[in-house]
Amino acid sequence: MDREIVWIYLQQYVKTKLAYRADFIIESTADLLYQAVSLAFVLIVFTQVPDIAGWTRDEIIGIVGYFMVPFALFNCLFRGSWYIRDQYIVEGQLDRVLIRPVNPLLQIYLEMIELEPLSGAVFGIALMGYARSRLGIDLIWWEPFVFVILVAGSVLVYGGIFTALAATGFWAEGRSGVSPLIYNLTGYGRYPVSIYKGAVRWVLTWVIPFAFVGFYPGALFLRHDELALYAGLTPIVGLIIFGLGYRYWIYGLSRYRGTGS
Amino acid sequence: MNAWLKLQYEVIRIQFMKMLAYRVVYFTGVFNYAINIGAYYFLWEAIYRHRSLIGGLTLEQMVTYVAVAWISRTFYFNNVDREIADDVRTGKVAVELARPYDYLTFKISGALGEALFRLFFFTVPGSIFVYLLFPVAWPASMASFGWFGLSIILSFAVNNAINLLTGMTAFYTLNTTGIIRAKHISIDLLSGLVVPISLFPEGLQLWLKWLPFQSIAFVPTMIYTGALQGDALVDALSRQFLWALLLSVLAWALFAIARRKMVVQGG
Repeated sequence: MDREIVWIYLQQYVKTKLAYRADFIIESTADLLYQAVSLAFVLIVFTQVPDIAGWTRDEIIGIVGYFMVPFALFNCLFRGSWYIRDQYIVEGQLDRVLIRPVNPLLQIYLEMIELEPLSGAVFGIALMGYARSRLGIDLIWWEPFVFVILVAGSVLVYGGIFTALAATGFWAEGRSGVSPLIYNLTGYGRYPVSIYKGAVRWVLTWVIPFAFVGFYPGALFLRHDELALYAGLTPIVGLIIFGLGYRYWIYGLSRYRGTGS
Repeated sequence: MNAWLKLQYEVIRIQFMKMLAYRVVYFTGVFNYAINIGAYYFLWEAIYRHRSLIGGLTLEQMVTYVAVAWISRTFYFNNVDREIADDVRTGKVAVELARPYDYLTFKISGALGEALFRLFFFTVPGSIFVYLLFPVAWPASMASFGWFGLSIILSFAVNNAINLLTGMTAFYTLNTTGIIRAKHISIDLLSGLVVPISLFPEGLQLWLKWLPFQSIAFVPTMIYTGALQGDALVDALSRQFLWALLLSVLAWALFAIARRKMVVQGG
């Protein structure tokens, strides 16, 4: 039942997108450009230095490449988290969503899905391929499967955190500006967190676990086996964070009384 | 002339008051900038481990560069491009054009009001916060600081002219959100905000010397650090001034053409 609805939503989405093909191309290019700039930073820095705290150019490119995949998927699947406060809670669109017999959060995220960021995911996979071939790493049969599982875990880390932030809209109606704050923190997880000083690394691993959205799982595909344990934790951390975020959303939803208009 | 000045003063004042209503948003904006500066600070700290100079800069100079470049952005940044694009998309521009003032001048005065607001409520508190958090050096000298002040006003003029031009693409296409985003991203890199242009490959540096972007971030920041002095300083400031003038004239010329072929939507 739910699966059928997901399918119908996607069909409708593709139809609306096909009406504005030029938009699609320009937006995809902008997304790609955004990733290209973070790559440009790495490339420029490495024209000046041979390594960053022991990490070589190709390794950093590989990590940045991995990061781009869950980052793109998050922006594609969870874009709705940006609009929950203003459009759904304050403006009352949530009322429309609630009278339908499908999970409200699922409906919101499906309505707001956006395929343009996927260009970033393709770019990221290409970068990983480039880095691995430069480092002489061959594909092992299980890697694609593990990649899918780890990426899913990484996306859930973001999804859980931003769902929880969106749910704060049930209490504070004004714009708090906390979401962009946390969003800017995502940039920290793009590089090996082991290069950061102790406190920053600790926060990125155990408090706002953005290291699981780039560094730890990314390092596994560069054969940094000393970090394999952390990489393996990715799906677990993802499930825990998303579970907590979802619980918080449900708790907020139970307090929702409508906009009254 | 007097009446014209008075009108511009009013526009600036009203924009300032309008922004004042949203000052809380700028309060968290200060933290946002601190987080961005922090990301680069921690990263550069790691990059500098076991080395003292990169591209002729010490870690302290690099941190100062990053902090000053970002803090300057709190002043010159604005969304005039999106405002113009929205005016065109919604058809509001037709009403604006019927009013007894020049639309572009009105937009520029509004941007000045916004910049003034940003200076007091964003740049100044942001600077204090960032100076307390990170090891940022003071300006090289009083003179450097003075020239830096002039330079970021010119940065504003250049950036604002580019924004006017970007906003005007709405006259030709409705896909402006992507174009505006792409512009933001390109400017962050090409202006030297993300990495000092002096670290770019030399071939690229030569190209960038003939483009307006480094007038936005790289030039004022290098003036602050005292790296630009004497003839180089005069040269850099003249380039900024010429770009500001050239791009503004271009904006007016394109606007004159665009308003003739404008199609207002709906009605």
